[in-house]
Amino acid sequence: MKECPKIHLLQEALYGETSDADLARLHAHLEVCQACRDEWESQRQLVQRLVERPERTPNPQVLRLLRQSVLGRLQHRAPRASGQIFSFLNPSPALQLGFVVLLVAFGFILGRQGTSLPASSSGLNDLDALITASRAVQAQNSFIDPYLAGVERISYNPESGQIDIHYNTISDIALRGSLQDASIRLLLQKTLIETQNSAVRMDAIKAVHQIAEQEQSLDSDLLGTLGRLLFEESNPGVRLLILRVLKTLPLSEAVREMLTRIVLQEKNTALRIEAFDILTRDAQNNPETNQLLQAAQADSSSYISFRSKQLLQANTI
Amino acid sequence: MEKDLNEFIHRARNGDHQAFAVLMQRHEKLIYRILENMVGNPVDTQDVFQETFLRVFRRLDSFRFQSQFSTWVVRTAINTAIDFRRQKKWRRFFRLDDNENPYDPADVALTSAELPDHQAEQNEFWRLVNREVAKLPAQQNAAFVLRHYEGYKIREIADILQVSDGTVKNALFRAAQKLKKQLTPGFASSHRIR
Ligand SMILES: [Zn+2]
Repeated sequence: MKECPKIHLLQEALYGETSDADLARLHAHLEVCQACRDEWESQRQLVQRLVERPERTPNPQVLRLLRQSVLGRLQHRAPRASGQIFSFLNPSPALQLGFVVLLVAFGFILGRQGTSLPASSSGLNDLDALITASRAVQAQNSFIDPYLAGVERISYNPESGQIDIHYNTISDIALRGSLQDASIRLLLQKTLIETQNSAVRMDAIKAVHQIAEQEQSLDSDLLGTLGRLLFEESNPGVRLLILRVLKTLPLSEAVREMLTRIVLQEKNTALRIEAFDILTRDAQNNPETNQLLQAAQADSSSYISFRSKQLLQANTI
Repeated sequence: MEKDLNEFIHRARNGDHQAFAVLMQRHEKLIYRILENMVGNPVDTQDVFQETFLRVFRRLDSFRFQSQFSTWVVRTAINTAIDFRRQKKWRRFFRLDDNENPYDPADVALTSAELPDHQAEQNEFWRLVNREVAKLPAQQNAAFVLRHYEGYKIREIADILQVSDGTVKNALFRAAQKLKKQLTPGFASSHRIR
């Protein structure tokens, strides 16, 4: 189909600034050209309709996490002269570099040495700095730069209810706190986002699992991070562990959505089955799950397709 | 506003990450919205979003204060998204990435605000629109999003994409042609429902 040579008149009138003379010419052409008239009408309709489009507002929590993550990555990649790391030990050049050595407490107790850090008078701002920026944490005679050191291991002691976050510094340094501690939670979240080491990610998820089990809920930040990881993570073991965390939570809208996506799109059968079982634990007499069950009947896993049919039958009776 | 922004730009250039955080905060919503409509699914959007700001930071030195900073950031975002789309195409070509569908409607529900039930059908229509918009060729896609979703003027879009006004108008025209073809059934019926 050949295009009308006057099509540029339409383009101008629809998306440019047209003079009255141009408009007159366009209308004269529209009188005689059916093809352009149709195109003109339909494009105008489309453009008008687009005005009604509901605005999609980015989730502020997601944005905050992304910002933290970008700042963390900047820190990693910031070019450093050799030996500069050790300049933390000397406060004045450190200050010049924009690094502030600070004492952080927040109920953290220094791990191996067993000495507690002096309580800081500053509040959450410092913690935010620890999590987002480049500040080093002084611990006895050593320092932790959270971005240079990175988390090596996370351990939870069920008896004391304490959690230790070990950094891979030269001497063993750990931050210790309880799972209820908001700052510990932030550090767990940060570790989940940043660490390259899947064993450490597993540790962090296990700790989050403890929180979920104790409180039967997770704050939306942590849940959001788990959700992202569930889809981005390449290690299936880590993903299975995330599903186990979701299993301990009530089936909120957000949890339901994550699980549904796994059931409908995931290639790994074990993960699909796990998600399916969680989603359908209250399937009986719950018409909400019927739609999912309909779709899951066609699942390549005979377990899922069989269970779907079974539950659907039970629901229709 | 632009003036005190300059202050933050200078500080960020000198390695002040907190100043850069402020710059990010000023632009993140806009950038996220644009990328969401170019990249499609939220997981990739978030990756491209991060990559965009990492590039912005690394290239701060090349910002000459001759255009608006936000124009420059938007341009970086669009170029990053275009690079991403290109890579994705190659990955799919070599089957390194077997996700055939560049835009999954189910993803939308994860990030956009919930709509009441009676709007479900409308919602469905807009999901379809979003999906088709993300499938447009890169330049048409970018022009379309900037014009119709973000309300930029033709000249501003030309400046961002570094093409002529005529190219932008043509891209918008072609985009609309494709879209209405893809959307015709839904477009006609849900238009009548109102
Ligand atoms: Zn014509």
